[in-house]
Amino acid sequence: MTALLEVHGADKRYAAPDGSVVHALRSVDLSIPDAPPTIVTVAGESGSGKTTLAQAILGLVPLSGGSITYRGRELSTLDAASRRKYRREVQAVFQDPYGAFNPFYKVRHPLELSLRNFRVAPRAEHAALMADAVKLVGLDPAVLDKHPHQLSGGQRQRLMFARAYLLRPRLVVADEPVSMVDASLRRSILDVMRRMRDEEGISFIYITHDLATAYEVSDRLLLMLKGAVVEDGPTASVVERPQHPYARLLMESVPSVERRWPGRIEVTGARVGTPEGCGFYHRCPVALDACRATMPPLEKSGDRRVACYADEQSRQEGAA
Amino acid sequence: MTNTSTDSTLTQRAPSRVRRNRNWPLIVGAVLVAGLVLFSLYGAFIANTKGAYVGSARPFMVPAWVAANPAVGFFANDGKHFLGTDGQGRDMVAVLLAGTPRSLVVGAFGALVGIFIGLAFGLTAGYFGGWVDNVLGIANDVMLSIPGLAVLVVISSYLTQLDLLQLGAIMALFAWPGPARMIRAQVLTLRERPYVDVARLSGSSATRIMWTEILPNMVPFVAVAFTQSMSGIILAVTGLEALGLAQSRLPSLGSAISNALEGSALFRGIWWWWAPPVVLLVLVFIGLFALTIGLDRYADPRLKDAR
Amino acid sequence: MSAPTNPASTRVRTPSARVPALDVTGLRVVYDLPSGPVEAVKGIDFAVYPGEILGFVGESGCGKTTSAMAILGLLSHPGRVAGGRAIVNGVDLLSLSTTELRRARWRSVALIPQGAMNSLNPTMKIGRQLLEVFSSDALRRMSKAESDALVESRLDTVSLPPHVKGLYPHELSGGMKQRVCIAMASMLDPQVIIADEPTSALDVVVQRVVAQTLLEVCERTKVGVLLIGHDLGLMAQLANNVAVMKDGEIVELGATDQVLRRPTHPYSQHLISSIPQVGGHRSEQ
Repeated sequence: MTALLEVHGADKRYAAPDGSVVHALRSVDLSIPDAPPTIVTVAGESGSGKTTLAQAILGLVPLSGGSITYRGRELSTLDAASRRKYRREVQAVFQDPYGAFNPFYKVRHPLELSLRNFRVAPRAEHAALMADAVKLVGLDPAVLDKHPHQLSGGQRQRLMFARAYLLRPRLVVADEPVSMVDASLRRSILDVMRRMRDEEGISFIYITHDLATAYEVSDRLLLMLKGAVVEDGPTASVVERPQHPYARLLMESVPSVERRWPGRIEVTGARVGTPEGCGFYHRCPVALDACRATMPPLEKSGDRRVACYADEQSRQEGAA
Repeated sequence: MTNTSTDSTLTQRAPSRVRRNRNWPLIVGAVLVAGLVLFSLYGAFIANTKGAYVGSARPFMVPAWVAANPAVGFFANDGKHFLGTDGQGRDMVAVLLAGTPRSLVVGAFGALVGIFIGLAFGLTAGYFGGWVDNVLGIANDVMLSIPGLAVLVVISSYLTQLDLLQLGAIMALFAWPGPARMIRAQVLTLRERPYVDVARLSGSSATRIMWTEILPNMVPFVAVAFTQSMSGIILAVTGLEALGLAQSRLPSLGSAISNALEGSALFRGIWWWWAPPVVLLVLVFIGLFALTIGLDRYADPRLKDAR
Repeated sequence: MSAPTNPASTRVRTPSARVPALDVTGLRVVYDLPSGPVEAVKGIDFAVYPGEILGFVGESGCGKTTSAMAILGLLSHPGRVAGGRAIVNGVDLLSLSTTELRRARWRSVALIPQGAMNSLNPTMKIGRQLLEVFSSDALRRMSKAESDALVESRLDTVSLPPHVKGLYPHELSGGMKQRVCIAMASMLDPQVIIADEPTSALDVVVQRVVAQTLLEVCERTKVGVLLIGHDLGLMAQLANNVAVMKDGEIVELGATDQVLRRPTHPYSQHLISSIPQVGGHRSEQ
C-alpha cells in the first residue's frame, strides 16, 4: 500500500529568545495511506509539537532533520511546478475563522482567489463550482455575497473548508478548526470533514487538543507530548483503552458526562526529567531509569504503536 | 489555544458607520476642505481673475467696509474690489481666487506623488522584511535626516522659474519618507493577519497579496498620510515663497504674502494686503489638520477590530 | 415573563432551612442599541447555595455572561439592569450605589472573569496582587508577617507553594495563573464566587487540576459558586445543579445528573446532544 504522505524521523529544533534550544519535533514518524481516505487526529497539549508538525507538512517551516514524502517524492526535492501541485493537493484550514476573511471583501473572495490562482477552470464555471462547494459544506450559495461580519464563526469556518475543497485536494491539514467556534456548532464542522472524507475521498490531518471532537470524527489518533509521538492507533481503541501512561492520564482526565474523575490528581510531578528522555518521566507512575536517559522509540503494540519502555505488550512482541 | 467563542450577535456589529459619538474633527475638516475646494474650483475655472495681476486697478484701495484715509494714501473703495487692492494694484479678492487653487494643487500633487513613492517603499519594505527592509530603511532614514527645507531653499534659488507641477514634484521628494515609515508599520501589522496566510494558501503571489489583501485595508491610513503631507507641503511652499524663493509670475497665497512683505505692508498698516492670504492659509491648515485627525480616528485600530 | 416554559423544571426545592448564598429573582437586562432596546436577559430566577456549584450552560449570546456581569454591576454601555433582585447576605446588589457596590465586590461576590489569567498585572508580584483586594487602611493595619501568612495560606488553598508569592505572572504556567485568580477571588471570604469559563484555555490535565482546585475551595470555605461554561463534561464533574439558558431565559434548571443525562426541555435535549462527547456518538467510516 503506497502512502499518500510519509513523515519520517521529523526533527525540528530552534533557538528560543533566551538562548535555549527548543526541541519542537523529536523524530516524528507518521504515515497516511493513499486509500482509504482517513481522518487522522494529531492530539496534544500546547507545546506538544502538533502545530509545528502541521506547519512542516504544509511546507511553511523547514525541518532540522528527517523527511516528509508526498506520493513518494521528498518535499525538499520538488521543483517549482511540483511544488505548485503540492500546494494545491495539500490544503489547510486554520483555527481563526474571524481573521481568515479580509474584511474589505465579501466572503467569496478567498474562494475566487483559489479558483483564479490555480486556474482550476474557466471563469464562466466559477460560480457553479463555488455554489457546489458551498452546498457540500451545508450552506446556501447566497451566503457567498455576504460580508464576513454577517456570518457566524461556524459558517465562516465551513466556508474555509469549501475553499479547500474547491481545489480538490488529497489531504487537508485542519489546525484546531473548531476551537474558536461555539460548542454547539462544532458538530456541523465535524460533519463537513466527515462528508469530505466519505463523499470526496479527502484525507485529513486534524490537529486538536479537544479529545471529544477527535473521538467523534477521526479514524486514527496520534498523541504527541513534548515533540514526540507517544501513541498512535485507532481512535476508539486509544481513547477507550489507552496504553501509554500519559494517554491513560489524559483519557481519564477528559471530563465526561458519563463518569466522574477517578480520585484526586496530584498537582506536581515528583521527579525531574531530562531533555533527552521521555517527556512524561516527571509524573509517570511506572517510569523506569531508562525513561530518563533516552526517549523510548515508537513500537508496534497490538493494534497501535506506543513509545514506552514500560509498556508490556511491546516488550513482549520485541522479545518474540 | 483558546476556547473562547465570540459568536454573540450583540457584540458583533457592522463597520463603524453607525457610531454614536460623532467624529467632529472629520466633519469640521471635511466641511472646511470642501468649502476651500469649491472656492478654488470657482477661482480656477469660473471667476475672472485678471484683477490678480499688477496694475489692474488703482492701488491702495481700502476694503469696502473701511473708511478711506487719504492722508496716509489709502483710497476709498470703488465698490468693485471688495477686499480692496494692494500697493501694486492687485485686487485682493482676485488674488485669493487665483492663488488658493494654485497652493492647493501644489500641495495635493506633491502629496500624491509623495504617497505613491511612500507606498512603493513602505509596502515592499513592510511585506518582504529582511534585507529588503534594511536597505529601504537606510534610504528612508537618510532622506529623513536631510534638512528638507534647507535643500529646498538651495534648489529653488537655482531654479528661478518653476511651474506648479515641478514644484510639487520637488516637494514630493522630501514628503515621502514620513508616509513610507507609517505605511511600513501598518503593513507589518497587516501581513500577520490570517487572511494573508489564506491568500498564500490560495496561491496568491507576493505582489498580488500586497495589492489585493493589504492595500485595500490601508486606505484610511493612506488618507491620513495624504492630508498630513498636503498641509506640510503647502506650509513648505508658502514658506519658500514668502522668503522670496520659488517665485513664479503666477499668483499663489505664498507669493501674495511675499509681495506684501516686499511692499512693507505690515509697517505701512496695509493690513488688507497680507491678512486675506494669511487667513485663507490658516483655514487651509485648520481644515487639513482637522481632516487628518478625523481620518486618523476613523482608521484607529480599535475600530478596525470591530469590523 | 419570568417563568420558564417547561413547568416541570422549576427551581430546585431545597430544604427550607438552607439560605441561598446568592438569590436572584426576575433579573432583566436590556441593551439600548441604536436600532431600539433589546432584552438580553428576560427575567430569570435562580439560587446558588453555600458550598455548592451552580452551572450555567448555553450557546454564545444566550445571556449567561451578561447575567453574571449584571449581578456585579459590570455591564458595559449600552447594557443596563432593567429589573430584578440579586440578594447576597440579605442585601440586594442591584439596588446598591456605585460606592456600595464597589465595596461589595470581592467582599460579598467575587468574579473570575473569562481570560482572567491574562489580566493579571504583569509588573506586580503575585503576593502583592493578592493583597490588592484589601483596602489600603486594612493593609496598613496588617503587619508584614500577617500579610505574608495570609497570602501563603490562600496560595495553599489552591495548592500553590508559598514561593509563588514572590513570582511575576509570566513566570507561571496557565494553570498556575488561573489558580492564583481563584485564590484572589477567595481572599476576602466572599459568599459567592462567579467563575466565567475558568478553564477554557487550558489543557485537559491542567484543566482537571484547576477544576479540582475550585471544587476544593468551594467545599472547604462553603462559598457558593456560579460556574459559567459550555463544557458539559466539566459541568458534570463540578456542578451540583445546572441551568440551561437560551435567548435570555432559563429553560431548564435542576440537578446536574438530571439535566445532563435526562433533559426534559426540547432545547436542552438539542443542546446536550449536539455537543461532542468522548464516549458518545461516533461517525463510523
